[in-house]
Parts: sequence; C-alpha cells; structure tokens
Amino acid sequence: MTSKSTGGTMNEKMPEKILIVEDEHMLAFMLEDMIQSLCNCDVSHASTLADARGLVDSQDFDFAFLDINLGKENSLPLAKELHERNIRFVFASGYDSKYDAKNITAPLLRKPLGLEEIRTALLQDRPDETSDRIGRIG
Amino acid sequence: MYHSSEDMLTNLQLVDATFENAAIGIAHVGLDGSWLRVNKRLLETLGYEHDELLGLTFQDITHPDDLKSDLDQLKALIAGKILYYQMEKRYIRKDGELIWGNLTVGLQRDINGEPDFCISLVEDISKRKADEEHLKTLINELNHRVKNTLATVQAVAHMSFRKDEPIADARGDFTGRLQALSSAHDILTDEKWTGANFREVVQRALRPFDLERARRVTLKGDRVRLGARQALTLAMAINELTTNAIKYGALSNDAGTVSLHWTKVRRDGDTFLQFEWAEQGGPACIAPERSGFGSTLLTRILPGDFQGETKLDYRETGLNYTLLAPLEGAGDQ
Repeated sequence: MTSKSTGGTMNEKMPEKILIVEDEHMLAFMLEDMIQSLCNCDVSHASTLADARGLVDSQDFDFAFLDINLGKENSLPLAKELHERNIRFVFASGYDSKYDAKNITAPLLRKPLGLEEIRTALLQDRPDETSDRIGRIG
Repeated sequence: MYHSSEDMLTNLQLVDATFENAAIGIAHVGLDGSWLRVNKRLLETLGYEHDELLGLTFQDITHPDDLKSDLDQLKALIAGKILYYQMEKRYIRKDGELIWGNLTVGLQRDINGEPDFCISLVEDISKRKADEEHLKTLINELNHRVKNTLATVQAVAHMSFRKDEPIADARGDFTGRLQALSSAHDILTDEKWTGANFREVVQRALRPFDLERARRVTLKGDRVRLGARQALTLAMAINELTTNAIKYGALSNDAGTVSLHWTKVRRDGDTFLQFEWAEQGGPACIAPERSGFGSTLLTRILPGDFQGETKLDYRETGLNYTLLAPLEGAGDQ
C-alpha cells in the first residue's frame, strides 16, 4: 500500500519516503494520515516482518516507524537491519516493553502518538533530547 | 485428656511429638548453618532424606540470590541486635526444583546466655508465590489491552472527527463506533480473549439496532473462529454497514432487507472465510463522493486485519460487500 499526499507543507528536513511497520491496520492508517498532514512524502505500510523486509529490499526509505510488538513477532530484527542500512527509525509502543534491543538505540514513542511528537521524530536526528515523552529503548 | 493424666505423655515427649508432627517445617540449625534436627514436614518440603539433609547446611540449599539477606539477618540475630527474623526465600530441593518458603528464625541461648542454636520454621508458600506471579501476569496483560484499546480509540476519534464532518454527526458516529468496539470486548472477555465466534460478533454488533427481531436482517453462516483483533474490526465494520443501510440503504425504507452470509471454502488446499453483506429492496445505491471512516474501514482496514480481499460494490439493487480471507491461524492472533 503506497499513497501520496496532496496537501501538507514541504520541509527540507522532512524525510521523503517513510515506512510504517504496524500490525494493526487502523493504527497504521491513522499514523499515515497524521504523517501526511505534516509532510509531502510517500508512506508505505507493512504489517509483518516479511512484508517490511520485502519493501526495504525493493525501495529506498529514509525513515521508519516500528511498532515493537507485531503479534507473534517483534520488530527488533528489522531495527537491526535498518540500522545497518543507515535508515533512520523510531520505535512506537503502547507500553513499557521488555524486549532486548541489544546494541540498537532509537527513540521510543509512546502510543497514543501525538502529532507534535511525530513531527519531532521526523525532523530531528536525536528527538529523545528534545522531548521528555520520548525515551530510549535498550 | 491432655497432660493431666500420668499415663499420658511426659512433657519432654509432648515437645518431641510437637516438633515431629507439626504440619510446618521445623528445624534446629547450628550457628554455622548446619541442620541439627529436622522434622518430617521439612524433609517433605525440601525433598531430602533425614541423614542427607543433616550432612548439609542451609546455605547449601538456599537460592544464591536469597543467601546474603539470610546470612546478614542471622548475624544480627546471633549478635543480639534482633530477637528473630522472618523472610520469604527460595530453597533448592534435592530434585533441583525451586520452592518458596516463609522462614521464621529464633535463637536458643545456652545456660550462660550465649547463642546455642537457631529454631527455624519453614512454611512452603510456593502456591501463594505462583498465584502472585499469575496475578502480576494478568495485570500486565490488562495494561497491554487497555493501552491497545486507547490507541484504537485514538484512531477511531482521529477518523471520526474530520474537518469536513459536522461535529454533531461525528459525535453520534463516534459513539456508535465505541459501542461496536465495546460489544466485541464483551464477547472477548467471555472467551478470555482467546478469540470469538463470527456469528456472536455480528449478533452483538447488530443488537443496538434491534433489526433481527423485525426480520429485516438475516444471518446464515458456518462456525468460524476469529482472532481478537479481527473480532474488534468486524464488529466495527458491521456497525458501519448497518448505520449506512439505515441512513441510505435497504433499511432506510420499510421493505428492504439485508442478508449476511459467511462460509468456509476450500481453495488450493487452504481454508478461506467468505463473507457477504447483501442489501436488497432498498433505493438504488450510489457511491459516496468522498471516502469516510466506513469505506476506509471496509476497504482498507478490515482486509488488512484479515489479510484478505474485500469488495465494496454500490449496486443498483443495493450495497454489496464481500470478504475473502484465509482462515488458517485466524484464531490465534
């Protein structure tokens, strides 16, 4: 699923191609809608690790939102791959996760996600230093 | 009669009997931690034979993480800083199994007032500890569900309150959607969140509209098991379809009907769920100009959560909505 927003303001620092990895489609749809209200960018969605890997292999993303808990699997292996490919990403979770993120550190956004937090995450290299609602995992 | 007759036990025998037959573990423990005397219940709790245990110290069979606290308190007891101590600790049984004990330790002094040995009571509290663990797990799960629900409610609100939607309409729609979510929650709670039956989800989502009794809506289907997420999404989809049918479709007049039909079908060796919502006898239906919450839910969100394909068809004869989705693993999400 890929769609292009028609509105939104262009910002040079905003990513251009964003991947959402989220197993609940309603949340993915909302996040996509929120992102597209912030930037004029391509947003793709994957609900499983396999789908996400397929997209990452075939397209050039410059940002990703990773829901940590994907039903039977979790997104940490993908985080490692994104890290190796130098693709910026943030985790999103509704609760304090006890996953071992190994050596990967990335900002953790808490659900429910606010528009300003999403904007901050998209714009900043180190959003965890600018907002106290964003922490780190790992 | 108790200790009034000379035929009965002597005082010493009474004490011995109490020690041996108490239904709680009792031991005399040397100041160095060696077991000096133990009763039957303690041997049962720890899984050792009498002579084996007397060759060991309590340190030998204490979980390493609980040892320091135990030794610190023992030291304070011997030094006379405390009169007794009590702690919950893990013992390693002979068979290697960990058990939880509630330990209470007092001190026996000799004729000169010097510390002689400890009197330890050990109660097996493994079951209570397991119950506490279970409760903790349940509370964590509850927290996850509440957080998931809040995120879902945020998404429903986000999609219900749009710039181009009159606020009073949006509020009514939003409430209906929350009721649909709530109806699915009731079923999932009854089923301990293991899943839900297709029919039950549909019936509960239809209940607020009171349509089945009026024979305007007919349900027919196989027994199909849904995962929790699918049940929630289906309940909301039924709510959207019904609300739409009442406003614009087959339920907007006195004659129209809706039939819901779901079956299991086999294709290429796999089992699929086939679902159809078919409206008849209503006004000719036309596709709306813009896609609102309902069509987004039906054509994007529901096929996603079911990993299937849907078709929303605005037919002359009435709205027709179909879903084809794989059933394997649907019940264990």
